[in-house]
Amino acid sequence: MNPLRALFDKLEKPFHKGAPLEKYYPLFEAMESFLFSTRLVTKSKVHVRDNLGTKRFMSMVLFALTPCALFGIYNTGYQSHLASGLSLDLVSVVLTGAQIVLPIVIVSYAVGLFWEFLFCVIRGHEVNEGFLVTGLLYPLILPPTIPLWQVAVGITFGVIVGKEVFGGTGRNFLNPALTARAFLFFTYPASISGEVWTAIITSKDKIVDGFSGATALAIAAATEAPNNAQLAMESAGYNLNDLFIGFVPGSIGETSAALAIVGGLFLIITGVGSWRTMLGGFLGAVSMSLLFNYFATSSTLPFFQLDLLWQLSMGGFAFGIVFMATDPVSSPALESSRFIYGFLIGMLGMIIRVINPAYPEGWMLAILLMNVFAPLIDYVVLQKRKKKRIRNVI
Amino acid sequence: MKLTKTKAYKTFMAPIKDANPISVAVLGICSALAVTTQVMPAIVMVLAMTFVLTFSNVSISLLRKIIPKNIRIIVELVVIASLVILADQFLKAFLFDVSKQLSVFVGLIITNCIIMGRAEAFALANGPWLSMWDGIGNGLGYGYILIVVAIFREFLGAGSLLGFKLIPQSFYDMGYQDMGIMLLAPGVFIVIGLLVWLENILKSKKA
Amino acid sequence: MKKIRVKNTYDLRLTGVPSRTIRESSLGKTLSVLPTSISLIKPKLSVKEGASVKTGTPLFYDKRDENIKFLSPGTGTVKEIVYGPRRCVDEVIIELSGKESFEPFKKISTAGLKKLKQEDVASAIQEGGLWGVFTEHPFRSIPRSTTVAPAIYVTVDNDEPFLPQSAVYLKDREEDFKFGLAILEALSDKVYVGVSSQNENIKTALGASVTHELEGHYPANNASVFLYYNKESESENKSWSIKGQDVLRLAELFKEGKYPVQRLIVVAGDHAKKPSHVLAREGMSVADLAGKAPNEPTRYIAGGVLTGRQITEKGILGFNDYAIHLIREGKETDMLTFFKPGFDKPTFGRTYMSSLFNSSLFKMNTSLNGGYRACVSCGECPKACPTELLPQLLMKELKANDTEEALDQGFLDCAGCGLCTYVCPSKIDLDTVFDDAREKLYWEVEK
Repeated sequence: MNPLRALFDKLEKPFHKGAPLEKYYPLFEAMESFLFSTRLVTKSKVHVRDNLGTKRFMSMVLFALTPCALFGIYNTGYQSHLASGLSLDLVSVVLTGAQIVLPIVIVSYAVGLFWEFLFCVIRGHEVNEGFLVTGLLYPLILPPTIPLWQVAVGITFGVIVGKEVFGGTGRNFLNPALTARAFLFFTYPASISGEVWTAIITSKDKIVDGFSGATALAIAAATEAPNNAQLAMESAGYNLNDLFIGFVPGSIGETSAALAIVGGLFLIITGVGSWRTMLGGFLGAVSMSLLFNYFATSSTLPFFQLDLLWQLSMGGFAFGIVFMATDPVSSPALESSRFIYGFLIGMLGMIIRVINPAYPEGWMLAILLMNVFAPLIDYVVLQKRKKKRIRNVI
Repeated sequence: MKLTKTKAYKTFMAPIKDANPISVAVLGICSALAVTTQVMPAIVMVLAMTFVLTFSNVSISLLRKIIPKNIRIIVELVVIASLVILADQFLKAFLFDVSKQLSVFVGLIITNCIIMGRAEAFALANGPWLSMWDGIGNGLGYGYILIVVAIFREFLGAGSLLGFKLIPQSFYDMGYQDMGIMLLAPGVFIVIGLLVWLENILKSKKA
Repeated sequence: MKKIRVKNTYDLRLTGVPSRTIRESSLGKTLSVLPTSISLIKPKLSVKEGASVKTGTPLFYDKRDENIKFLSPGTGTVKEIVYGPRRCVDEVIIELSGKESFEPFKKISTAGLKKLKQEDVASAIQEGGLWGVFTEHPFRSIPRSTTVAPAIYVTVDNDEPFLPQSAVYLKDREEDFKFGLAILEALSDKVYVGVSSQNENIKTALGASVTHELEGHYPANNASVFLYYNKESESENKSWSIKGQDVLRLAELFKEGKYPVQRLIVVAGDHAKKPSHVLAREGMSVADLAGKAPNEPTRYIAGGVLTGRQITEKGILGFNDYAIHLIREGKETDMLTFFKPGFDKPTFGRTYMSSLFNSSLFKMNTSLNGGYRACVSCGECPKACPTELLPQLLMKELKANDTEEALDQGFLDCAGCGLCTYVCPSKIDLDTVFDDAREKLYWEVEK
């Protein structure tokens, strides 16, 4: 037998029912089931079960997130070095990026898991793997300059109010990672909007000339009427290629539309993420963007005229649609309503981004709002579905 | 008879313990949103509210046999409105600053669901003695939630209590920031929601 | 012949497939009858301990309808009656005497059948103890003796792993089968016969008797699924169904005039010595049928692996059981499985590489393959529901006692196939929730 397995068998004893550490069994279970597949056997009439468990399900999302996370580390370092005029070679850039990003990730996991474990011990149920995803999604949508204590406050709020208040993973109606970020956004607006998107590691006077710190979105939103939003961005040094690949300042993991697409394809191929949500979101954003173009005149906001490709490559659109909107718990339960849900997110997010100058980016609010409306969409779709069936009641 | 066994005591304690107008009946949320950014106006509001509630309950209870059924709401409103004007004028005369902070919300006590609700549900059916205790009890039940919420909001949102700065400047220098959301309306919902949660946990443990 | 394309089916591809050879089995000293294994009846005994019984003597009947009788599968004396809690009859043990004698029933020929009225055919079946082979939907109970079926659905094939194959039990018995169908036609105006679309041989052998072709993997050939796809109005919801092999038993009862005790079952699973078809009779024990399992933890199942009931190594073949499975209890653990590509992990979705690159059979075991978690609305179960239900919503409604809403969404169409439970990543026992709710509802309606 595997020596590690033997060790765990020995360790398990005090956690058994009636033993002194019984209360902390969820802790043990979390550790054990992380390393080993389960020893539980079926009890019901279905004697064999599929190999897909929640752990596998969630780790698929983690795999899909990995490229974005790694690129996030690289890009954070890259932007920092670029602004400070330091060398841009791979190793030093990655080191700087890791120095900035890893503490945020670690704080997110540590604080979040603390609350998760606390609730599991109090309520006596096993730790749900959903937090593994939340704990990584959350740092990726924060600016690199965020103070660590705010990371902790945010994830505390996200786990408790976004999830545990309602009974834990599976019973929450809001995406916990977005709840956490929304809380930070309204609570500490100074840390999460404005020029916070590049972590400067040198002293202020070493910043290279021409560095503004403003994101493409901020520039586009701030462009005044006779000017052209695209030209304004181009003159600030942004181009479509960089926006798509992700070499721009922004939240840690969401700058790269390209890698979000890679992650999205992985989720669709494995069947873990709903392609209907993603497609709906894409179509919603495209149609809204085209609608804006159509109605754009010289008197409307210049943001209206912005080209479709720019709109889709900028900001957190791709990341939000791929990883945030597809969270199964907070999206509608029916596959067919997921398309409507995605479409509305796409439209709404684009409206908030373009029209509302108070919010630099719309996806967080659009997704949270549609999370709230998800049961309603489900209800409407369900009523339609019921009519198709031949009634079978007594 | 022991104090705790009297009917008046039970009437007084019920809204504070089990049938809290805010955390159980979810009434009077609008004023709770508006006046709880700081503790001081919350306290004044609670006093004004308790005053109006007690006296409206007593007067309506006294009048309960003469009030014709189909115009009772109008009569109740007249009583409440007079009391509210009294409270408002008093505040303007003696506590002008706080009165300014509370602005229309003192006047809006008249539409507070708790007052109307207690007049309809309790004062019309009970004598003035019990109605008085019910008024005080509801006023304080409303009050303690309001003050707890205000304490949270003022402390987390502005770092102070009753206007005194509690969080030292050195904290701010180290990077501490006040929670902006606490000064916005959603902050109240979050705090009240968490209080209701806590209360439900405590109640379910007792049961 | 109409073709029905069943949606959302799944091929489990498990090892331990029974071969097509037929093995004889020898009777032991006793046979046991299990009234509790028959669901939705209230059994009442009609024999006492010590009474001598012939093959075909009634042992017990349904308290609510004494025409629903269950007969003795062997000749001998009633050795013991085992009572369970609240004096429900758990087991009637019959000690076999060496010589077998049969209760005589009336023989009915093809020509004779045509002269009989519907009631006469029904009562002949009830006398012969085979009324219990009919299933009345939507509760899948045994129909009352006086009801007339709006339609009878016959399912010839079984695609659940593993049940007797039509190619084996129908071999050289096509004429009997057609006679059985004639009996059914005497009972109801509409008789639908569904055959798996992959089963070309049977289609040609039965010719015009086959009315429907069922396309899809498990559970395309389930009677409830067949009914769901074929029904055109609400009145058909209460249709009956019967298994192909029971049609043969009906024919045998009428032809021979004695209780047909023999049936073909499969003994399958990785821990069975030689997975094959076995000629058996009701009441035989697992030891008689399957022999000893290897010296490893083994799960014994009476019935298919997705719908069967768990029994012990001393378990008994019940009235409705057509299979015995011996499969491995999956208690051993594997390191960091959820990070591995998993070429050998069968899965319904596409989260393991097996779904892309492995087309061989998979070894089955009873491991839960995950821990019990709350439902995360992942959307796997609706993809696996052949009757197009939304199992996760039904589960939540039934747990919240909102039966009305569940019925409104078509809960009674549920075929009980167990695929939703099979695919659930949160390992929720949806089947138990549904079965309990259905049973509760039945007793409320039948009060």
